[in-house]
Amino acid sequence: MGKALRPSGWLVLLYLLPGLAIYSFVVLVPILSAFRYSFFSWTGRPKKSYIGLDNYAEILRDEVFWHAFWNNVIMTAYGLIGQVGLAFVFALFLMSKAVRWKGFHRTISFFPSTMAPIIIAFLWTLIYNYNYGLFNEFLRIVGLERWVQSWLDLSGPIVLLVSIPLSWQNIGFYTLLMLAGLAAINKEVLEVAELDGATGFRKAWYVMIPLAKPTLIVSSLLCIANNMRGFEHIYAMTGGGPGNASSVMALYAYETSFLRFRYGYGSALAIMIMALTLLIILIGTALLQRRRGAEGVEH
Amino acid sequence: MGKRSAVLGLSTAAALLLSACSNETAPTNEAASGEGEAGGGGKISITLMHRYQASNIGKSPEDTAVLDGVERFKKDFPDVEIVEEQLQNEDYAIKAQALAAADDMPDVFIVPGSWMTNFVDNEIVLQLNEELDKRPEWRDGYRAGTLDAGTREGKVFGIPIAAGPTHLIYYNADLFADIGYDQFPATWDEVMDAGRKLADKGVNLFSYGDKSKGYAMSSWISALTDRHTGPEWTASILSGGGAAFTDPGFVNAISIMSDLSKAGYLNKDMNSVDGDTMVSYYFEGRSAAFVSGIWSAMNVVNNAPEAVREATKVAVFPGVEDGKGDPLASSGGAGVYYSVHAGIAPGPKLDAIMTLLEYMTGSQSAKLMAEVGGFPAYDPGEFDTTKLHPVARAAYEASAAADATKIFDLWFDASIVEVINTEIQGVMSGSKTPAQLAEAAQQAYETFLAKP
Repeated sequence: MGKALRPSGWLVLLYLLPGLAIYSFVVLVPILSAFRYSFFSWTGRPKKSYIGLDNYAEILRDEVFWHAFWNNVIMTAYGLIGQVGLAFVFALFLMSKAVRWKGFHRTISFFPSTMAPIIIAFLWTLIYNYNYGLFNEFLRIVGLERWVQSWLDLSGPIVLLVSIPLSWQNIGFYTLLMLAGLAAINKEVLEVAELDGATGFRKAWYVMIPLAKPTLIVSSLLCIANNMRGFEHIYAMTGGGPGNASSVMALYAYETSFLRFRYGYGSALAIMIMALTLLIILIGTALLQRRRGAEGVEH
Repeated sequence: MGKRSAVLGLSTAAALLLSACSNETAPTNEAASGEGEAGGGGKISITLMHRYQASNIGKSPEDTAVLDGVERFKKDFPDVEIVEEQLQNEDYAIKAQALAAADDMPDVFIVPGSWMTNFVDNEIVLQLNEELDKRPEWRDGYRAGTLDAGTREGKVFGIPIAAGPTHLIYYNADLFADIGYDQFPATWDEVMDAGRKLADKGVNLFSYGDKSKGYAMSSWISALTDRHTGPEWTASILSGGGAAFTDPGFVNAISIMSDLSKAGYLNKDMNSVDGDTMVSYYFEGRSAAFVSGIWSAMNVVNNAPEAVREATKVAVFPGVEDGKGDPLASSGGAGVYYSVHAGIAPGPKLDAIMTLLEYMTGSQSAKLMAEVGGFPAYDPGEFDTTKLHPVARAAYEASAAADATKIFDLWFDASIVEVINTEIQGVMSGSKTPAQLAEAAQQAYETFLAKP
């Protein structure tokens, strides 16, 4: 842009002001006020009393919260495998020459991502339904009647069961990301690799994964962030039940504030969620970056 | 060029901010002018926010009766403007919470019993004793105990609407006759025996649906606990008088539920289906009975297949051995109240509000509610029962037969209620024991007692 046309610094700021104002109003201000409320015992009414760090001390002792945190961590692990991992495999298939109707597959696999989480949750509640569910019907047809279960009432594998719909919904999104990442790989590199005899699995492992690493990292971080703040699917499918078995941090914070009317403690939980999520993302980034650094030296 | 775009940017930003502001302030201005009563030529304006909806008229007795009261009031007092907002249950809870936090409640609003302590402590609701004393005939028309959950230390803060019991057993007499019971089993041993015999036929004794968390508490735990402990225990818990959730009575009550679940007499998906599915299992003949409040009576009348509807009878839980409670009692009492904003001063506006409350919940409204199958808090006296289906009449009579015991979810603090609501799912699914639930409830109770 020519110098004459370039707006001055303060003008740029001015242009940004409306967006910035809205952003701070809907994001920054609530976070800051949540931070302030987290030092109060507050039932959501005009009266509140300052209690210092008591809320945070209670969080440290709160087994339900840490159970919910652990569920988030497990969900994230399932997510990395079921969303990012599978999406990468899908993307490789869609890149390979063996697959026909690529556009069709791409569209269909992306379709669930366009639906609201509540709809997905409702769909899967029906699939898991004890009497009419597809899942149990399938088991009956293949003769595994003794496996027929009221799936969402099982406390044991409940986190896995609620993670499946999440993967089902998000796979398409990550597949698209991967496809974009893979498409950016220089075709000549791949051709050379093929000439050298690297096909199928070897080509993927030794050539494509290292070259698509930036995309993989971004996808993983997105996946971590999404799963750490997961809420809607669980809320609609199990409400955190049975008991607290499938509760996640965001759901617990919601219940604490809006059902138990402990807004102060709920705010402290929200701040804690943010801190923990940031921490996990920082650790994740550090690990991935270091690996990349180390490999960089190797090459 | 630069200047022009700067001006444009500024004015856009200003417009955005201004429109945001005007949106925010508009309702407040309106409310303010309303509170200023005579401000606009003597016209009184009352803001009313509740969870009764015109779309439910004819389906729900409460909505029908209350909204009929509003209409009658509008007709009789054309000078009084009513700014009404009808919300769905969940929406109402969210909106009311937000408005209460901002101290911006309308003039008249609904307060569930479980919120009352909180609203009273925070001085959001107006004490109505003097106003009620001016209208003794209306005041004394409410059934005994229905004002209680809206009363704190003798001061009335809420006017009750309906008082239906939350615990009734709707059972299919034909299915019970098939296994040799000509009425609902009279002891818990017989209940378990019936459960076994029904299970042999592939039918669940009860269908049960607690996905929304809260069903167990309002329809089962409140009544069952009272069978064991009697009302003294509840009173002691409420006053902090030494009773504990770990007391045997409460634990035994939970154990009965856990035994039913463990024996397999309930539907397997009890924690993942809601109340509607629970009732439809009963309609489909998958279960021989279900436990619910009086609100399900009209559901049976309107929606059950004819054979099921004709076979449906109403009972309550049997008593327990050495139980201290009344074996006829059901948990009940008024659940939700109309309250008035604390900022309203005595005067013509408050008079108008009290009259509106009488129209919505008093004698005429109560008669209408009873006639369409509800159980009003105001005693309707004699009313036309000819239009009532036998199931609805049986539910009404069972409701009127015994004193209501306290519904825990309305009386206990929300923090304790939530813990029990959550833990009971664990107990019913077999991952927690009744003792563990009691332990967790007690912990929440002690946290609650310790906080100012």
